[in-house]
Amino acid sequence: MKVDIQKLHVAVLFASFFIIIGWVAPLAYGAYAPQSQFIEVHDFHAEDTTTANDTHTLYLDRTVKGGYSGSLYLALVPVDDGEYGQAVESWTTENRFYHQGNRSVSSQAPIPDNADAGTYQYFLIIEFDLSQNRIKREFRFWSEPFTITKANETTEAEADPNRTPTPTPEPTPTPTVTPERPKLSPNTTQE
Amino acid sequence: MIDQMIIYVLGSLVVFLLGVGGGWLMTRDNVGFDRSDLRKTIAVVVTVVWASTIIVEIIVPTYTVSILIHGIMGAVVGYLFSEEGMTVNIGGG
Repeated sequence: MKVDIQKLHVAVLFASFFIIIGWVAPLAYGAYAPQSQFIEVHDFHAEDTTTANDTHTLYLDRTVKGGYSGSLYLALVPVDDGEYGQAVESWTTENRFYHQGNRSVSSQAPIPDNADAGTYQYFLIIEFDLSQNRIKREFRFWSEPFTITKANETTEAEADPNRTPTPTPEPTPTPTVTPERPKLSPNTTQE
Repeated sequence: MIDQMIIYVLGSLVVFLLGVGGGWLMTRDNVGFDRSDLRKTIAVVVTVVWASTIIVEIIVPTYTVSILIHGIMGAVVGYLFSEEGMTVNIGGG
């Protein structure tokens, strides 16, 4: 069966085809391109801390391939024998802009009051607005494990004025833990 | 520092003049480039430009092309594509 398409109809056909391809191609790229085309995280870790501290330093070394706006979600997750527990605390930041290029960022992350001693990891979700906000894509990262240890209980006992003085026991030598962390690059910025 | 709009206008003018000059050169009597060949050449050039805009739109996050521009480019290519429309054979015969 032969179908004769007039010249005007051919123009409309091509216009529709070009519109569909022009609209879908950037969306398809944003949705299915590899993560490395948008962001790469080279280092993501936090310092070991104690329950007595209010904050500790969180380090993130990332390379963003283009300037994107988006949001950020960060959660403090306990880890027990490789099993992830319920997040102790989470934070969300909207309307962020991620500059293109490599940056090493350090920030002070709060230690929740209900955080018990143990091993933890940070779970980070970075969401980019792609294709002029037509598509949102999430990129997920886990930090290296770090530990929160209990604060020294002797400190709390000495604060009581009615306490009967007791002989101070000989201090037990404790191993010095020196976390091996990569040195910050010169362009580290404090948030 | 020249204003960006002036740069865009001058760039468009240069491209327009290059197109007019190129079309004149290709359709001179002693070249053997007829009207049909010129139409197909323009259609190919517009298609290449359209494909380039899509690639740039993917690479540069802040660059966007209006849907109207996609439609106009497609309509131009479709109009130039054939002299008397298209005949499509569906099925056998």
